[in-house]
Amino acid sequence: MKNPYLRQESEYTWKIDAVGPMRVPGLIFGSERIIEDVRQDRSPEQVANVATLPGIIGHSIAMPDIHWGYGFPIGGVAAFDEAEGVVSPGGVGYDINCGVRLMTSGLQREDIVDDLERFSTDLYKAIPSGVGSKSPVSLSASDLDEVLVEGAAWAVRKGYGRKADLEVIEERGQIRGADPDKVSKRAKQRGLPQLGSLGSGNHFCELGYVDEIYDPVAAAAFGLRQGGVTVMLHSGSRGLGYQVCDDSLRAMLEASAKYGIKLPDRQLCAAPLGSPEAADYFGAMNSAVNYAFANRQMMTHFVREAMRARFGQAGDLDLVYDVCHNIAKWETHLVEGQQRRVCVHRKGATRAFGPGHADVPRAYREVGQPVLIPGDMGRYSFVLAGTQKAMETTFGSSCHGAGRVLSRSKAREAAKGRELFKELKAQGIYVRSPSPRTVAEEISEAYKDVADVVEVMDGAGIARKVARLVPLAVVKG
Amino acid sequence: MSRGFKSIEHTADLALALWAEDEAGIFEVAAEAITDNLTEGATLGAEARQRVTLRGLDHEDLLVRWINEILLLAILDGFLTRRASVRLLPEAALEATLWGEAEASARVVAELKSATYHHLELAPTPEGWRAQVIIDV
Repeated sequence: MKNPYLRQESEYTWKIDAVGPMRVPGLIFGSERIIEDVRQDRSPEQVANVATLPGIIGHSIAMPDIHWGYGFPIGGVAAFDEAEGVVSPGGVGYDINCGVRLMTSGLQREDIVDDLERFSTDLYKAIPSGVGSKSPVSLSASDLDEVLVEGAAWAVRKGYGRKADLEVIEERGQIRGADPDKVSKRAKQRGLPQLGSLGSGNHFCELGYVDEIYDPVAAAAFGLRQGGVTVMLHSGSRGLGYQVCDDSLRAMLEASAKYGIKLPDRQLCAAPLGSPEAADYFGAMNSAVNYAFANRQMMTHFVREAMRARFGQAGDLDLVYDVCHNIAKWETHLVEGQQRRVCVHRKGATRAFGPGHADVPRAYREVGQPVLIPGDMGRYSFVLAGTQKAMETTFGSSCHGAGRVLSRSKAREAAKGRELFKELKAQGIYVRSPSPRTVAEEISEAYKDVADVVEVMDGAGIARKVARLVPLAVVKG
Repeated sequence: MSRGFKSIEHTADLALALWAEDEAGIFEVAAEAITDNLTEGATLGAEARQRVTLRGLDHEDLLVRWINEILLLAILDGFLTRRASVRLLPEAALEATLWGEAEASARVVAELKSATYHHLELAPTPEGWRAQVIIDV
């Protein structure tokens, strides 16, 4: 559906009325300024396309970091009825369980400011990063199968972390339903050498500090204190996840034809939730989800070692939380007054469960689930907390980041002739990367101001602001 | 009609426009475009050779599978395609010979995850053939 009409419904919400083959309306969160950008790309068309899929419930939703993706828009959320609905790999994306985790240390910013340049190099050496980056750990084929089933728990069992870490990871770092036999030989070949590596593109490891607290009670619950040093990690399931998605699209294209699912975009190919094709996809996708949890857990261990080596015991890191960005999973939500089991797709969106939910770790249950929103490497990131309103409106989902506004080629043009590493150093941010091209593509101007995005979530009551983090040292892939 | 490729604007990913004198030419140009993007235009040897046979659901699907095959040869085998000779067969199949550089993983400087089906186009024009494909990066 080309150029759907966006009708402002409230200060922060815009509707696309259900017309033609759309089964439900579209709902986009944004400010007037954000929606102006949104109108420039084809993401509203993608919101409308998702609304045509069988069994979709409520709305085809998009968060304020929405931008043009493939299939679903990036920032898209959609829930599907257990009996009538579908699962679509295009609603998850290639980097399955791309996600973010946040850690806190016992250090204050002033404790480390003189060591930043050296430590940024330590961090760079500690975490394999860049195109095709490889793990320092060699895995056997049977090790990999264990990883695909156990996720972060496998890494902890092998000494890469602590049992307590698992308490504060979405799904406790181990989603059920993984079936390594559904992961192709090629996907395993791609994943085998990469566990414990960052990758490239927008993936990063960032040392920062808490520069502002908005909600002292939630910040205290999350272990965030003014000036406290933090580490944020952003990575996913590497080549294994890409291949799982690629393999499943082929099967889903055939399934769409077999089950008579009309597709406005072939990238939305899907299979009914109860079908054998859906079962195969869940088996493979959940394996990739677990791979990503283990991947971030191993890198956490590498960062901890580097922090302790440079700063001693005060540099030790506690995990605050770990959230998925790209996933389709079974959750129970209140739909038309009834608790229903639905399949929630989040593509470039974060789970944001509110206070009291049983899936929120006990330590955070009174304040809501931590929602981690990275910005760009030159400005800031935010920590939010999930709300009851999110449970009622967005299937417990929030935005996941700033959202690109410049294409990678335009970002490279904007960076041409500039000394980006020096510019950032002058701001007190030490950037290390094997790829100057990546750094150019990831300049601040390439992204929306994440503060604007977060303001929408906070203003709409979907997730409330807890703290702002400012970068000090960044490893880019 | 000449043949070639260029990047077109896309906010998050890489969108490629391809043109050639015939449909098989589109597949050959696609291979060159992928290598160009993986290596930022590096000059490669053409001493190594690979053979590929593929079948798709239709010709658009075949193009996606072909591009992903070129990517996998680079990622898994370190084989970078410099040029390809493609023969299209009935029932959306192809056989191809690729010439390129083996053990060249180190020359890959950009990550391309996969070709997608989103806004995928492959069609004849009065002058020849054209295609558009979006690659997740």
